[in-house]
Amino acid sequence: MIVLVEGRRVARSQLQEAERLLYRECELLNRELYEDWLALFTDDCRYWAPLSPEQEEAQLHSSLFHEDRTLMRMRITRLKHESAHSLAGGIRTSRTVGPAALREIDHASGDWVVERRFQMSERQGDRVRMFAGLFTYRLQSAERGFLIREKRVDLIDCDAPHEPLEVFF
Amino acid sequence: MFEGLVRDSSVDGRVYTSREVFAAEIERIFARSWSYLGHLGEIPRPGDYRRVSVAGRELIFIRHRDGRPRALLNRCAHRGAQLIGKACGRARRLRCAYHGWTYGTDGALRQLPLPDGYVGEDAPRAGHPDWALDAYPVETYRDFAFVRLQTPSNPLPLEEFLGPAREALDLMADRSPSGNLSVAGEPLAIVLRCNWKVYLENLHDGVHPPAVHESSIAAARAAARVDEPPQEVQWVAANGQPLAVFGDLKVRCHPYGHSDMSGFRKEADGEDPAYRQALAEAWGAERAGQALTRNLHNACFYPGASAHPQYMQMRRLTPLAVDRMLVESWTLRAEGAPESHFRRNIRYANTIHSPSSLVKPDDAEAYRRVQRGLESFPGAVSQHRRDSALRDSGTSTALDEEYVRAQYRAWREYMTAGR
Repeated sequence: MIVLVEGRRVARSQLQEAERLLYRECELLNRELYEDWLALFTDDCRYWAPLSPEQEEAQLHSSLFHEDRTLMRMRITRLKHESAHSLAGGIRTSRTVGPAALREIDHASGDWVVERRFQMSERQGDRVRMFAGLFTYRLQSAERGFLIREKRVDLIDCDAPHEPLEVFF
Repeated sequence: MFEGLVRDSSVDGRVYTSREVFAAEIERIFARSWSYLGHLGEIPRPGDYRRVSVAGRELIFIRHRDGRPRALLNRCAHRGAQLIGKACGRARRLRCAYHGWTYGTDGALRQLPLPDGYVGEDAPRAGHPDWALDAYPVETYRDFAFVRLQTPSNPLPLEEFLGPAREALDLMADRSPSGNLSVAGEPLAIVLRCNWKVYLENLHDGVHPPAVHESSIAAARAAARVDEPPQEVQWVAANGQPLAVFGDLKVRCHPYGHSDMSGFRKEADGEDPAYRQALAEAWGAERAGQALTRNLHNACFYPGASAHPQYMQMRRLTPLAVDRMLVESWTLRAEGAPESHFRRNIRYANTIHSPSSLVKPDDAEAYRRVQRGLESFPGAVSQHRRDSALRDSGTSTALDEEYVRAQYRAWREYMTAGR
Protein backbone atom coordinates (compact mmCIF):
# COMPACT_ATOMS: atom_id res chain seq x y z
CA MET A 1 0.00 0.00 0.00
CA ILE A 2 1.40 3.40 -0.95
CA VAL A 3 0.82 5.97 1.77
CA LEU A 4 0.36 9.53 0.61
CA VAL A 5 2.59 11.64 2.76
CA GLU A 6 1.86 15.13 1.51
CA GLY A 7 -1.76 14.39 0.82
CA ARG A 8 -1.29 14.89 -2.90
CA ARG A 9 -3.95 13.73 -5.21
CA VAL A 10 -3.05 11.03 -7.68
CA ALA A 11 -5.22 8.55 -9.51
CA ARG A 12 -5.85 5.33 -7.62
CA SER A 13 -4.91 3.38 -10.75
CA GLN A 14 -1.49 5.04 -10.81
CA LEU A 15 -0.90 4.23 -7.16
CA GLN A 16 -1.78 0.61 -7.81
CA GLU A 17 0.53 0.48 -10.77
CA ALA A 18 3.48 1.89 -8.81
CA GLU A 19 2.69 -0.58 -6.06
CA ARG A 20 2.81 -3.50 -8.50
CA LEU A 21 6.08 -2.29 -10.00
CA LEU A 22 7.82 -2.06 -6.63
CA TYR A 23 6.51 -5.47 -5.60
CA ARG A 24 7.89 -6.95 -8.80
CA GLU A 25 11.19 -5.13 -8.32
CA CYS A 26 11.95 -6.89 -5.04
CA GLU A 27 10.44 -10.22 -5.97
CA LEU A 28 12.45 -10.51 -9.21
CA LEU A 29 15.63 -10.00 -7.17
CA ASN A 30 14.45 -12.55 -4.59
CA ARG A 31 13.97 -15.02 -7.44
CA GLU A 32 17.26 -14.14 -9.14
CA LEU A 33 15.48 -13.06 -12.35
CA TYR A 34 18.00 -10.31 -12.94
CA GLU A 35 17.32 -9.70 -16.65
CA ASP A 36 13.62 -9.17 -15.97
CA TRP A 37 14.59 -6.95 -13.07
CA LEU A 38 16.82 -4.75 -15.25
CA ALA A 39 13.94 -4.36 -17.72
CA LEU A 40 12.10 -2.35 -15.03
CA PHE A 41 14.72 0.42 -15.28
CA THR A 42 15.10 3.33 -17.72
CA ASP A 43 18.04 3.50 -20.11
CA ASP A 44 19.56 6.37 -18.10
CA CYS A 45 19.03 4.61 -14.77
CA ARG A 46 21.28 4.60 -11.75
CA TYR A 47 21.73 2.20 -8.83
CA TRP A 48 23.33 3.95 -5.90
CA ALA A 49 24.26 2.90 -2.34
CA PRO A 50 26.08 5.74 -0.53
CA LEU A 51 29.05 5.01 1.70
CA SER A 52 28.21 7.66 4.33
CA PRO A 53 24.89 8.58 5.94
CA GLU A 54 25.47 12.25 5.12
CA GLN A 55 26.66 11.65 1.56
CA GLU A 56 24.95 13.99 -0.89
CA GLU A 57 26.54 13.06 -4.18
CA ALA A 58 28.54 10.29 -5.80
CA GLN A 59 31.06 12.04 -8.05
CA LEU A 60 33.42 13.40 -5.40
CA HIS A 61 32.92 10.70 -2.75
CA SER A 62 33.24 6.92 -2.94
CA SER A 63 30.09 4.84 -2.79
CA LEU A 64 29.30 1.26 -1.82
CA PHE A 65 27.56 0.93 -5.21
CA HIS A 66 27.33 3.49 -7.99
CA GLU A 67 26.27 1.93 -11.27
CA ASP A 68 24.66 2.91 -14.53
CA ARG A 69 22.85 0.46 -16.77
CA THR A 70 26.09 -0.82 -18.33
CA LEU A 71 27.62 -1.61 -14.94
CA MET A 72 24.37 -3.12 -13.65
CA ARG A 73 24.32 -5.41 -16.66
CA MET A 74 27.97 -6.31 -16.04
CA ARG A 75 27.12 -7.33 -12.47
CA ILE A 76 24.26 -9.49 -13.76
CA THR A 77 26.50 -11.17 -16.34
CA ARG A 78 29.00 -12.01 -13.61
CA LEU A 79 26.31 -13.32 -11.23
CA LYS A 80 25.25 -15.77 -13.95
CA HIS A 81 28.80 -16.79 -14.93
CA GLU A 82 29.76 -20.38 -14.17
CA SER A 83 33.28 -19.37 -13.05
CA ALA A 84 32.22 -16.79 -10.48
CA HIS A 85 34.26 -18.62 -7.83
CA SER A 86 32.79 -16.74 -4.88
CA LEU A 87 29.33 -18.01 -5.86
CA ALA A 88 30.37 -21.66 -6.01
CA GLY A 89 28.47 -22.38 -2.79
CA GLY A 90 25.40 -20.53 -4.10
CA ILE A 91 23.90 -17.22 -3.04
CA ARG A 92 20.27 -16.73 -2.07
CA THR A 93 18.57 -13.57 -0.89
CA SER A 94 15.23 -12.60 0.59
CA ARG A 95 13.97 -9.01 0.83
CA THR A 96 11.13 -8.00 3.09
CA VAL A 97 9.77 -4.50 2.67
CA GLY A 98 7.64 -2.09 4.66
CA PRO A 99 4.85 0.17 3.34
CA ALA A 100 5.80 2.42 0.43
CA ALA A 101 5.38 6.16 0.85
CA LEU A 102 5.05 8.63 -1.99
CA ARG A 103 7.33 11.40 -0.79
CA GLU A 104 7.30 13.78 -3.67
CA ILE A 105 6.29 14.33 -7.27
CA ASP A 106 9.01 16.23 -9.06
CA HIS A 107 7.45 19.33 -10.67
CA ALA A 108 9.83 19.49 -13.61
CA SER A 109 10.10 15.82 -14.59
CA GLY A 110 6.91 14.41 -13.13
CA ASP A 111 9.03 11.67 -11.45
CA TRP A 112 7.63 10.07 -8.34
CA VAL A 113 9.90 9.67 -5.33
CA VAL A 114 8.87 6.65 -3.28
CA GLU A 115 10.51 5.35 -0.09
CA ARG A 116 10.21 2.14 1.84
CA ARG A 117 12.12 0.35 4.58
CA PHE A 118 13.64 -3.05 3.84
CA GLN A 119 15.41 -5.98 5.42
CA MET A 120 17.42 -8.43 3.38
CA SER A 121 18.91 -11.76 4.40
CA GLU A 122 21.61 -13.25 2.26
CA ARG A 123 22.85 -16.80 2.40
CA GLN A 124 26.19 -17.40 0.74
CA GLY A 125 28.35 -20.47 1.25
CA ASP A 126 28.61 -21.06 4.98
CA ARG A 127 27.09 -17.89 6.37
CA VAL A 128 23.97 -15.71 6.49
CA ARG A 129 24.18 -11.92 6.54
CA MET A 130 21.52 -9.37 7.40
CA PHE A 131 21.10 -5.96 5.81
CA ALA A 132 18.57 -3.25 6.61
CA GLY A 133 17.84 0.27 5.51
CA LEU A 134 15.84 2.47 3.20
CA PHE A 135 15.04 2.07 -0.51
CA THR A 136 14.36 5.34 -2.32
CA TYR A 137 12.99 4.98 -5.85
CA ARG A 138 12.69 7.63 -8.49
CA LEU A 139 9.97 6.47 -10.86
CA GLN A 140 9.60 7.85 -14.34
CA SER A 141 5.98 8.18 -15.35
CA ALA A 142 5.69 7.22 -19.02
CA GLU A 143 2.91 6.44 -21.46
CA ARG A 144 3.22 2.73 -20.95
CA GLY A 145 3.47 2.98 -17.20
CA PHE A 146 6.24 3.53 -14.68
CA LEU A 147 9.93 2.74 -15.06
CA ILE A 148 12.60 3.06 -12.37
CA ARG A 149 15.02 5.89 -13.05
CA GLU A 150 16.96 5.45 -9.82
CA LYS A 151 17.11 3.06 -6.91
CA ARG A 152 18.98 4.39 -3.93
CA VAL A 153 19.84 2.14 -0.99
CA ASP A 154 20.80 3.64 2.36
CA LEU A 155 22.11 0.84 4.57
CA ILE A 156 21.98 1.51 8.31
CA ASP A 157 25.61 0.33 8.43
CA CYS A 158 26.78 1.83 5.14
CA ASP A 159 29.90 3.27 6.82
CA ALA A 160 30.94 -0.03 8.45
CA PRO A 161 33.41 -2.49 6.90
CA HIS A 162 31.73 -5.18 4.80
CA GLU A 163 32.72 -8.45 3.24
CA PRO A 164 32.21 -8.40 -0.54
CA LEU A 165 28.74 -7.28 -1.66
CA GLU A 166 27.78 -9.12 -4.83
CA VAL A 167 24.04 -8.86 -5.39
CA PHE A 168 21.80 -5.79 -5.56
CA PHE A 169 19.92 -5.01 -2.34
CA MET B 1 61.28 -21.34 16.99
CA PHE B 2 59.89 -19.28 14.09
CA GLU B 3 63.09 -19.50 12.06
CA GLY B 4 62.37 -23.03 10.87
CA LEU B 5 58.97 -22.09 9.42
CA VAL B 6 60.50 -20.17 6.54
CA ARG B 7 62.75 -21.62 3.86
CA ASP B 8 64.19 -19.95 0.75
CA SER B 9 61.32 -20.75 -1.62
CA SER B 10 58.59 -22.16 0.58
CA VAL B 11 57.06 -21.68 4.00
CA ASP B 12 55.30 -23.87 6.52
CA GLY B 13 51.53 -23.36 6.18
CA ARG B 14 51.29 -22.77 9.93
CA VAL B 15 52.58 -19.20 9.40
CA TYR B 16 49.02 -18.54 8.12
CA THR B 17 47.04 -20.56 10.62
CA SER B 18 48.79 -20.62 13.99
CA ARG B 19 47.37 -18.29 16.64
CA GLU B 20 50.74 -18.33 18.36
CA VAL B 21 52.51 -17.13 15.22
CA PHE B 22 49.84 -14.48 14.72
CA ALA B 23 50.22 -13.12 18.27
CA ALA B 24 54.00 -12.96 17.81
CA GLU B 25 53.60 -11.19 14.45
CA ILE B 26 51.53 -8.45 16.07
CA GLU B 27 54.18 -7.78 18.71
CA ARG B 28 57.30 -8.33 16.63
CA ILE B 29 56.32 -7.10 13.17
CA PHE B 30 53.39 -4.71 13.50
CA ALA B 31 54.40 -3.09 16.79
CA ARG B 32 58.08 -2.77 15.85
CA SER B 33 57.83 -1.43 12.30
CA TRP B 34 56.41 1.89 11.13
CA SER B 35 52.64 1.38 10.68
CA TYR B 36 50.55 3.62 8.46
CA LEU B 37 48.43 5.82 10.70
CA GLY B 38 46.77 8.01 8.09
CA HIS B 39 47.20 11.04 5.90
CA LEU B 40 47.26 14.47 7.52
CA GLY B 41 44.43 15.39 5.12
CA GLU B 42 42.16 13.24 7.31
CA ILE B 43 42.75 15.58 10.26
CA PRO B 44 43.19 19.00 8.60
CA ARG B 45 42.50 21.25 11.62
CA PRO B 46 43.82 21.23 15.20
CA GLY B 47 41.62 18.96 17.30
CA ASP B 48 40.52 16.80 14.34
CA TYR B 49 40.86 13.16 15.26
CA ARG B 50 40.25 9.65 13.97
CA ARG B 51 40.36 6.37 15.85
CA VAL B 52 42.88 3.94 14.37
CA SER B 53 43.72 0.40 15.44
CA VAL B 54 47.42 -0.47 15.14
CA ALA B 55 48.88 -3.78 16.27
CA GLY B 56 45.84 -4.43 18.44
CA ARG B 57 46.10 -1.07 20.24
CA GLU B 58 43.40 1.49 19.75
CA LEU B 59 44.96 4.86 19.01
CA ILE B 60 43.68 8.40 18.58
CA PHE B 61 45.25 9.97 15.49
CA ILE B 62 44.83 13.65 16.36
CA ARG B 63 46.23 16.99 15.32
CA HIS B 64 47.51 19.15 18.19
CA ARG B 65 47.53 22.97 18.40
CA ASP B 66 51.12 23.00 17.11
CA GLY B 67 49.83 21.53 13.82
CA ARG B 68 51.65 18.23 14.34
CA PRO B 69 49.89 14.86 14.57
CA ARG B 70 49.91 12.71 17.68
CA ALA B 71 49.18 9.03 18.22
CA LEU B 72 47.63 8.69 21.69
CA LEU B 73 46.50 5.48 23.32
CA ASN B 74 42.68 5.61 23.47
CA ARG B 75 42.63 4.62 27.13
CA CYS B 76 42.04 6.83 30.16
CA ALA B 77 44.97 6.80 32.59
CA HIS B 78 42.51 6.44 35.52
CA ARG B 79 40.53 3.20 35.16
CA GLY B 80 41.56 2.36 31.62
CA ALA B 81 38.24 3.23 29.96
CA GLN B 82 38.18 3.83 26.22
CA LEU B 83 38.33 7.61 25.95
CA ILE B 84 37.00 8.43 22.48
CA GLY B 85 33.85 6.61 21.41
CA LYS B 86 33.26 8.19 17.99
CA ALA B 87 35.13 6.96 14.90
CA CYS B 88 36.20 10.50 14.06
CA GLY B 89 35.44 14.06 15.03
CA ARG B 90 36.89 17.25 16.43
CA ALA B 91 37.64 18.10 20.05
CA ARG B 92 39.45 20.79 22.05
CA ARG B 93 39.80 18.45 25.01
CA LEU B 94 39.47 14.70 25.41
CA ARG B 95 37.16 14.02 28.32
CA CYS B 96 36.63 10.56 29.76
CA ALA B 97 32.94 9.57 29.78
CA TYR B 98 33.38 7.72 33.09
CA HIS B 99 34.84 10.11 35.74
CA GLY B 100 35.55 13.14 33.62
CA TRP B 101 39.34 13.08 33.55
CA THR B 102 40.25 15.56 30.83
CA TYR B 103 43.27 15.57 28.53
CA GLY B 104 44.71 17.99 25.99
CA THR B 105 45.08 17.08 22.33
CA ASP B 106 48.73 16.32 23.13
CA GLY B 107 47.62 13.74 25.71
CA ALA B 108 48.58 15.79 28.82
CA LEU B 109 46.24 15.39 31.79
CA ARG B 110 44.59 18.80 32.25
CA GLN B 111 41.90 18.21 34.84
CA LEU B 112 40.53 15.58 37.15
CA PRO B 113 37.66 15.80 39.63
CA LEU B 114 38.40 16.26 43.38
CA PRO B 115 42.15 16.79 42.84
CA ASP B 116 42.70 17.24 46.61
CA GLY B 117 41.44 13.72 47.22
CA TYR B 118 44.46 12.09 45.64
CA VAL B 119 47.22 11.46 48.18
CA GLY B 120 50.64 9.84 48.02
CA GLU B 121 53.81 10.49 46.01
CA ASP B 122 52.57 8.65 42.94
CA ALA B 123 49.05 10.10 43.08
CA PRO B 124 47.50 11.40 39.85
CA ARG B 125 47.79 15.13 39.25
CA ALA B 126 47.19 17.40 36.32
CA GLY B 127 50.25 18.14 34.19
CA HIS B 128 52.28 15.21 35.52
CA PRO B 129 53.79 13.14 32.67
CA ASP B 130 53.07 9.84 34.46
CA TRP B 131 49.35 10.57 34.07
CA ALA B 132 49.35 11.66 30.45
CA LEU B 133 47.90 9.39 27.79
CA ASP B 134 50.52 7.09 26.31
CA ALA B 135 51.83 8.75 23.16
CA TYR B 136 53.72 6.88 20.45
CA PRO B 137 56.31 8.32 18.06
CA VAL B 138 54.81 9.62 14.83
CA GLU B 139 56.83 10.56 11.77
CA THR B 140 55.48 11.90 8.50
CA TYR B 141 56.73 11.66 4.94
CA ARG B 142 55.01 14.05 2.50
CA ASP B 143 52.10 14.22 5.03
CA PHE B 144 51.70 10.43 5.22
CA ALA B 145 51.86 9.72 8.95
CA PHE B 146 53.32 6.51 10.37
CA VAL B 147 53.51 5.37 14.00
CA ARG B 148 55.76 2.95 15.86
CA LEU B 149 54.53 1.31 19.04
CA GLN B 150 57.82 -0.14 20.25
CA THR B 151 61.07 1.72 19.94
CA PRO B 152 64.06 -0.56 19.57
CA SER B 153 67.49 0.44 20.89
CA ASN B 154 68.59 1.47 17.43
CA PRO B 155 65.45 2.98 15.86
CA LEU B 156 65.16 3.37 12.12
CA PRO B 157 63.92 6.79 10.91
CA LEU B 158 60.76 6.58 8.78
CA GLU B 159 62.44 7.79 5.60
CA GLU B 160 65.09 5.11 5.86
CA PHE B 161 62.44 2.49 6.61
CA LEU B 162 60.45 3.43 3.49
CA GLY B 163 63.60 3.53 1.36
CA PRO B 164 63.04 3.54 -2.43
CA ALA B 165 59.40 2.47 -1.87
CA ARG B 166 58.66 6.07 -0.88
CA GLU B 167 58.62 6.97 -4.58
CA ALA B 168 54.94 5.94 -4.60
CA LEU B 169 54.20 8.57 -1.93
CA ASP B 170 56.24 11.19 -3.78
CA LEU B 171 54.35 10.52 -7.00
CA MET B 172 51.05 11.17 -5.21
CA ALA B 173 52.15 14.31 -3.36
CA ASP B 174 53.79 15.65 -6.54
CA ARG B 175 50.43 15.54 -8.31
CA SER B 176 49.56 18.72 -6.41
CA PRO B 177 51.48 21.91 -7.23
CA SER B 178 51.27 22.78 -3.52
CA GLY B 179 52.06 19.22 -2.40
CA ASN B 180 48.76 19.20 -0.50
CA LEU B 181 46.39 16.25 -0.60
CA SER B 182 42.96 16.12 0.98
CA VAL B 183 40.56 13.36 1.93
CA ALA B 184 36.79 13.40 1.36
CA GLY B 185 34.57 11.33 3.61
CA GLU B 186 34.89 7.75 4.70
CA PRO B 187 37.32 5.17 3.32
CA LEU B 188 36.01 2.13 1.49
CA ALA B 189 36.42 -0.72 3.96
CA ILE B 190 36.41 -4.42 3.16
CA VAL B 191 36.80 -7.42 5.44
CA LEU B 192 38.65 -10.42 4.02
CA ARG B 193 38.54 -13.90 5.54
CA CYS B 194 42.24 -14.63 5.27
CA ASN B 195 45.52 -14.17 7.05
CA TRP B 196 47.02 -10.73 6.34
CA LYS B 197 49.98 -12.23 4.47
CA VAL B 198 47.76 -13.95 1.89
CA TYR B 199 46.58 -10.50 0.81
CA LEU B 200 50.09 -9.00 0.58
CA GLU B 201 51.29 -11.96 -1.43
CA ASN B 202 48.73 -11.18 -4.14
CA LEU B 203 49.76 -7.55 -4.69
CA HIS B 204 52.06 -8.08 -7.68
CA ASP B 205 50.82 -11.53 -8.70
CA GLY B 206 50.51 -11.44 -12.48
CA VAL B 207 49.60 -15.11 -12.83
CA HIS B 208 46.33 -15.09 -10.90
CA PRO B 209 44.15 -12.67 -12.95
CA PRO B 210 43.07 -14.91 -15.84
CA ALA B 211 42.07 -17.73 -13.47
CA VAL B 212 40.67 -15.81 -10.49
CA HIS B 213 38.93 -13.07 -12.45
CA GLU B 214 37.43 -15.19 -15.22
CA SER B 215 33.85 -14.15 -14.38
CA SER B 216 34.44 -10.39 -14.23
CA ILE B 217 36.65 -10.49 -17.34
CA ALA B 218 33.81 -12.23 -19.21
CA ALA B 219 31.30 -9.67 -17.92
CA ALA B 220 33.53 -6.78 -18.99
CA ARG B 221 34.07 -8.28 -22.44
CA ALA B 222 30.33 -8.70 -22.90
CA ALA B 223 29.79 -5.07 -21.83
CA ALA B 224 32.50 -3.89 -24.20
CA ARG B 225 30.69 -5.57 -27.12
CA VAL B 226 27.31 -3.92 -26.75
CA ASP B 227 28.11 -0.41 -25.56
CA GLU B 228 30.72 2.24 -25.96
CA PRO B 229 32.77 0.88 -23.07
CA PRO B 230 33.22 3.23 -20.12
CA GLN B 231 36.52 3.19 -18.29
CA GLU B 232 35.12 0.90 -15.59
CA VAL B 233 34.73 -1.81 -18.23
CA GLN B 234 38.32 -1.37 -19.39
CA TRP B 235 39.68 -1.49 -15.84
CA VAL B 236 37.92 -4.79 -15.18
CA ALA B 237 38.82 -6.20 -18.61
CA ALA B 238 42.53 -5.44 -18.03
CA ASN B 239 42.77 -8.61 -15.92
CA GLY B 240 42.14 -10.62 -19.07
CA GLN B 241 45.36 -9.64 -20.82
CA PRO B 242 47.70 -12.48 -21.86
CA LEU B 243 50.24 -13.60 -19.24
CA ALA B 244 53.02 -12.19 -21.40
CA VAL B 245 51.71 -8.68 -20.65
CA PHE B 246 52.13 -9.33 -16.93
CA GLY B 247 55.67 -10.47 -17.71
CA ASP B 248 56.33 -6.92 -18.87
CA LEU B 249 55.39 -5.51 -15.47
CA LYS B 250 58.54 -4.70 -13.55
CA VAL B 251 58.54 -5.55 -9.84
CA ARG B 252 61.19 -4.04 -7.58
CA CYS B 253 61.91 -5.54 -4.19
CA HIS B 254 63.13 -3.09 -1.56
CA PRO B 255 64.54 -3.56 1.95
CA TYR B 256 62.22 -4.44 4.87
CA GLY B 257 59.78 -6.36 2.64
CA HIS B 258 58.57 -3.36 0.61
CA SER B 259 58.04 -3.62 -3.15
CA ASP B 260 56.45 -1.88 -6.12
CA MET B 261 55.27 -2.72 -9.61
CA SER B 262 55.30 -0.59 -12.75
CA GLY B 263 54.46 -0.92 -16.43
CA PHE B 264 50.66 -0.86 -16.70
CA ARG B 265 49.08 1.54 -19.15
CA LYS B 266 49.23 5.10 -17.80
CA GLU B 267 46.18 7.37 -17.82
CA ALA B 268 46.70 10.65 -19.70
CA ASP B 269 46.99 13.06 -16.79
CA GLY B 270 48.97 15.85 -18.43
CA GLU B 271 46.37 17.12 -20.86
CA ASP B 272 45.60 20.36 -19.05
CA PRO B 273 48.41 22.80 -20.00
CA ALA B 274 47.81 25.12 -17.02
CA TYR B 275 48.08 22.18 -14.62
CA ARG B 276 51.19 20.89 -16.37
CA GLN B 277 52.80 24.30 -16.07
CA ALA B 278 51.85 24.69 -12.39
CA LEU B 279 53.47 21.33 -11.62
CA ALA B 280 56.60 22.23 -13.58
CA GLU B 281 56.90 25.53 -11.70
CA ALA B 282 56.48 23.76 -8.37
CA TRP B 283 58.72 20.74 -8.87
CA GLY B 284 60.82 21.43 -11.96
CA ALA B 285 60.18 19.94 -15.40
CA GLU B 286 61.67 16.53 -14.78
CA ARG B 287 59.89 15.75 -11.53
CA ALA B 288 56.59 17.16 -12.83
CA GLY B 289 56.97 14.94 -15.89
CA GLN B 290 57.50 11.90 -13.66
CA ALA B 291 54.38 12.73 -11.62
CA LEU B 292 52.30 12.81 -14.80
CA THR B 293 53.78 9.94 -16.78
CA ARG B 294 55.49 7.44 -14.46
CA ASN B 295 53.33 4.33 -14.50
CA LEU B 296 54.02 3.00 -11.01
CA HIS B 297 50.93 0.84 -10.52
CA ASN B 298 51.11 -0.20 -6.88
CA ALA B 299 53.45 -0.35 -3.91
CA CYS B 300 53.58 -2.42 -0.74
CA PHE B 301 54.79 -0.89 2.52
CA TYR B 302 55.34 -4.05 4.48
CA PRO B 303 53.49 -5.03 6.63
CA GLY B 304 50.58 -2.63 6.85
CA ALA B 305 50.00 -0.38 3.86
CA SER B 306 49.75 -0.29 0.11
CA ALA B 307 49.35 2.47 -2.49
CA HIS B 308 48.04 2.80 -6.06
CA PRO B 309 49.77 6.06 -7.00
CA GLN B 310 48.32 6.38 -10.49
CA TYR B 311 44.79 6.52 -9.05
CA MET B 312 45.81 8.27 -5.82
CA GLN B 313 44.74 5.37 -3.58
CA MET B 314 46.24 4.72 -0.16
CA ARG B 315 45.29 1.56 1.69
CA ARG B 316 45.76 0.59 5.31
CA LEU B 317 45.81 -3.10 6.21
CA THR B 318 44.74 -4.22 9.66
CA PRO B 319 45.02 -7.84 10.79
CA LEU B 320 41.91 -8.61 12.87
CA ALA B 321 42.60 -12.27 13.68
CA VAL B 322 44.76 -15.04 12.31
CA ASP B 323 42.15 -15.61 9.58
CA ARG B 324 40.59 -12.18 9.16
CA MET B 325 41.75 -8.75 8.00
CA LEU B 326 40.48 -5.28 7.19
CA VAL B 327 41.52 -3.20 4.17
CA GLU B 328 40.61 0.49 4.11
CA SER B 329 41.10 2.56 0.95
CA TRP B 330 41.25 6.33 0.63
CA THR B 331 41.19 8.30 -2.60
CA LEU B 332 43.43 11.31 -2.07
CA ARG B 333 42.60 14.55 -3.83
CA ALA B 334 45.52 16.62 -5.12
CA GLU B 335 44.97 20.32 -4.47
CA GLY B 336 45.27 22.24 -7.74
CA ALA B 337 44.79 19.19 -9.98
CA PRO B 338 41.86 19.02 -12.44
CA GLU B 339 38.64 17.87 -10.79
CA SER B 340 38.22 15.35 -13.62
CA HIS B 341 41.20 13.40 -12.23
CA PHE B 342 39.59 13.11 -8.83
CA ARG B 343 36.25 12.06 -10.33
CA ARG B 344 37.99 9.34 -12.35
CA ASN B 345 39.94 8.16 -9.30
CA ILE B 346 36.72 7.91 -7.27
CA ARG B 347 35.25 5.75 -10.04
CA TYR B 348 38.39 3.62 -9.99
CA ALA B 349 38.07 3.15 -6.24
CA ASN B 350 34.39 2.18 -6.61
CA THR B 351 35.31 -0.30 -9.34
CA ILE B 352 38.37 -1.90 -7.75
CA HIS B 353 38.36 -1.28 -3.98
CA SER B 354 34.69 -1.14 -2.98
CA PRO B 355 33.16 -4.19 -1.26
CA SER B 356 30.79 -4.20 -4.28
CA SER B 357 33.65 -4.38 -6.80
CA LEU B 358 33.08 -7.00 -9.52
CA VAL B 359 36.75 -7.93 -9.25
CA LYS B 360 37.11 -8.20 -5.48
CA PRO B 361 34.76 -11.11 -4.59
CA ASP B 362 36.82 -13.61 -6.57
CA ASP B 363 40.08 -12.32 -5.05
CA ALA B 364 38.47 -12.59 -1.61
CA GLU B 365 37.28 -16.09 -2.45
CA ALA B 366 40.79 -17.15 -3.55
CA TYR B 367 42.24 -15.80 -0.28
CA ARG B 368 39.50 -17.54 1.74
CA ARG B 369 40.18 -20.83 -0.03
CA VAL B 370 43.91 -20.55 0.69
CA GLN B 371 43.02 -20.01 4.33
CA ARG B 372 40.55 -22.90 4.41
CA GLY B 373 42.94 -25.24 2.59
CA LEU B 374 45.78 -24.47 4.98
CA GLU B 375 43.53 -24.81 8.02
CA SER B 376 42.55 -28.30 6.94
CA PHE B 377 46.23 -29.20 6.48
CA PRO B 378 49.03 -26.60 6.70
CA GLY B 379 51.77 -28.51 4.82
CA ALA B 380 54.23 -26.52 2.74
CA VAL B 381 53.35 -23.45 0.64
CA SER B 382 55.33 -22.89 -2.53
CA GLN B 383 56.89 -19.60 -3.55
CA HIS B 384 59.25 -21.16 -6.06
CA ARG B 385 57.97 -19.39 -9.18
CA ARG B 386 60.66 -17.50 -11.08
CA ASP B 387 60.23 -15.61 -14.32
CA SER B 388 62.36 -17.79 -16.56
CA ALA B 389 63.05 -14.87 -18.93
CA LEU B 390 65.00 -13.08 -16.22
CA ARG B 391 67.59 -15.53 -14.98
CA ASP B 392 69.71 -13.65 -12.48
CA SER B 393 69.38 -10.13 -13.78
CA GLY B 394 68.55 -8.76 -10.32
CA THR B 395 65.14 -7.48 -11.44
CA SER B 396 61.82 -9.21 -11.20
CA THR B 397 58.42 -9.21 -12.90
CA ALA B 398 54.79 -9.89 -12.01
CA LEU B 399 55.34 -13.50 -13.11
CA ASP B 400 57.99 -14.00 -10.43
CA GLU B 401 57.38 -14.71 -6.72
CA GLU B 402 60.55 -12.89 -5.72
CA TYR B 403 58.57 -10.16 -3.88
CA VAL B 404 56.92 -12.88 -1.76
CA ARG B 405 60.30 -14.39 -0.92
CA ALA B 406 61.50 -10.87 -0.05
CA GLN B 407 58.51 -10.44 2.29
CA TYR B 408 59.52 -13.62 4.10
CA ARG B 409 63.13 -12.51 4.40
CA ALA B 410 61.78 -9.43 6.20
CA TRP B 411 59.37 -11.60 8.19
CA ARG B 412 62.24 -13.77 9.43
CA GLU B 413 64.30 -10.69 10.38
CA TYR B 414 61.45 -9.25 12.45
CA MET B 415 60.39 -12.54 14.02
CA THR B 416 63.86 -13.61 15.12
CA ALA B 417 65.38 -10.21 15.98
CA GLY B 418 67.06 -10.03 19.38
CA ARG B 419 66.80 -13.75 19.90
